[in-house]
Amino acid sequence: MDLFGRVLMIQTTVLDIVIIVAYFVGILAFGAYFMRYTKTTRDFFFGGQRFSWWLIGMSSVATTIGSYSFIKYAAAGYRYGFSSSMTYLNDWIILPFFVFGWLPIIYFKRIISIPEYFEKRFDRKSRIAALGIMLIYMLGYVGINFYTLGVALQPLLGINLYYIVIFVAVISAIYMHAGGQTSVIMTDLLQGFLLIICGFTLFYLGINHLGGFEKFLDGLPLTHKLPLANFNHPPKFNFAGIFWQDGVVNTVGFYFINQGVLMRFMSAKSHRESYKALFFVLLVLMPVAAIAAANAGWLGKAMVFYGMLPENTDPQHIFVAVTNLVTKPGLFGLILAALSAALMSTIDTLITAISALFVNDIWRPFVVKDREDRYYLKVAKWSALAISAIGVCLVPIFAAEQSIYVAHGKFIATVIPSLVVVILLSVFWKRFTPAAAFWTLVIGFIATAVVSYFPQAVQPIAHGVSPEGDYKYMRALFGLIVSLFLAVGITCFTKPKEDIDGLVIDSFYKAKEYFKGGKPNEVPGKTAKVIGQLKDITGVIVSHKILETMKANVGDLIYVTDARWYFGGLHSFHSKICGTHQHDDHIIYFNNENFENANIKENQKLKIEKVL
Amino acid sequence: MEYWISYLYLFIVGGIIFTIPFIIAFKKKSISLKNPYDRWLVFAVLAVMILYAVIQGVWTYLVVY
Repeated sequence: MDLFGRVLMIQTTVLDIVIIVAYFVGILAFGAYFMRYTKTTRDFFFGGQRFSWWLIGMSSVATTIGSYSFIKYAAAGYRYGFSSSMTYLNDWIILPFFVFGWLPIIYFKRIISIPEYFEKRFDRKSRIAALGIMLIYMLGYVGINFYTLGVALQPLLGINLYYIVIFVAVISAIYMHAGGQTSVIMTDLLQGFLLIICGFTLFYLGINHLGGFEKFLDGLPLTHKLPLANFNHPPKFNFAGIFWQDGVVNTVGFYFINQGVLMRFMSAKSHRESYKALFFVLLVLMPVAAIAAANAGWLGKAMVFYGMLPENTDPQHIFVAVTNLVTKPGLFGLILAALSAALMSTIDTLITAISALFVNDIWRPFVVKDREDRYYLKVAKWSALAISAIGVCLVPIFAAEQSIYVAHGKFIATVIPSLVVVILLSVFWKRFTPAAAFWTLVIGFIATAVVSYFPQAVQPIAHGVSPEGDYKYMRALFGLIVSLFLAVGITCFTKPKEDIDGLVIDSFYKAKEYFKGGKPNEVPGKTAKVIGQLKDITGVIVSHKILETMKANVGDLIYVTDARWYFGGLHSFHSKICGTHQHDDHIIYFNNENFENANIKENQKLKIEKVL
Repeated sequence: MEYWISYLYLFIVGGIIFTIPFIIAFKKKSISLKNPYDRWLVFAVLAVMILYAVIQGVWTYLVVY
């Protein structure tokens, strides 16, 4: 065993192992507790669309920071410095596409899955083509997450990588099987806090170990301090390649195509709450996450400069090496638990998402049609277990690459450019035709995959990047250009679909009408504090004063929640105002079904607000 | 100057990509500055981009000079 390995084995104590095991058991119990909130497939996949922005945002960060993030970004931070964080800080490029087009359309049209959108917007052929690419993309993500955790924990635990992967897969699958999206959101919330706290604790301890922030900065070369990478070299980490592969293709992949992320934003109590969650993620949590995930690499570089770590330390192991050096037994175990948290929170989201695709896009439309919801809920739960097993089987494919950063980037750049082009055009270009969508998906995907065997084809658009790295990142731009030409070219000679109301930006208002089932009311109103009482009615009855406070009318869609903010909407329901009363202004009436679904009690303090 | 090429590329090429949905959304009237909520949304989206441009610009300046 090498020096690095010996150091790790010496420092891994029984206390660390106990903390890691206790953490896994705790998460399992916590996730399984939320089984009570899952009664329908809507609950299983979307958590009942009831949560507050801060809960969605915080849990999204746990999803964003995968286990691969700690290993991948710490390794990149060690090799290239602060610019390793740029992949977390470039999501703004795509933000308006998401905010003004994609999110409101899928939210208002109640799109359950992305392939479903493709069928409504185009045809069944396009749905199947999109489904195929999405499954490759998301199952690949599951595989790379499992593999990374194995890479991190194997030298510490000294057991076979596949045993670690299988153990984690079983834990994740059990609580997902029990509680679906609600369990995922609640455990991700907990894990989001844990991994950010641990990431910053590690940073603080590392700075102290080095002797202060100034000494830390002095230990880094100038190029390591810049926020952005060098424009076109080295081939394995350059700005131009990462701009197109990560900033454009992967960001669209993450926000538009990653069914798990989409389901998270769909779980918000309203579209406005989704926007708030998104801004919270981009402005606050992404920069925080970038520091939490990559700081071990930055610290490691400075530690090597001061001779605290050997110069030949493997970048893939820098996270564990730095953690091991600056923490004490117990805390070391906790930080490793945070690493596991990062994996589980990403993997559970992905598996629930693939389960949604399987049920809604394969099982329900093609295999067993028109059964009761309870049946599909059962299929969803069992499919989550099967998908975990497939993810484990994919681990050897990623294990064949030497760098996780390159493996991940290459995978993204190869698989999704055609889907990115089709999805953006489908929302923002009404004329875009079903034939163009289908052939762009198919030919664009094949062209991007085949170019990995003929990398010289990328050279004319390579921005001066050396061919040494086979243009692993720049092939994303190649895929975008080829797909865009196909999409525009074929659209010019084919016929667009006519009945697409509410599915493109041109008919935005229709989507809102569809969501509400009537004319939307967008007059800004206020939230009111109320007391809930039971009555045998359909909908909710409020006083005139409450109606005025919310600037609402009879027939408007409203949201009622437990007044205690820290539940984040867990105890809540949506309904419509069906009438007004003349009694106490603060009383609202609704039926027993709402009470039971929302897990609230009679005469409980509640908040009510208008949605639309 | 070599330290600024990536920054300029990010905010010029990225800025063009960022602007496209604004133009389409206003042209198709899916958002309107007369609607208070849309107004908030437009300014919030712009604020995110400007904030990143300022932070990364100042950061690069402090490192280089």
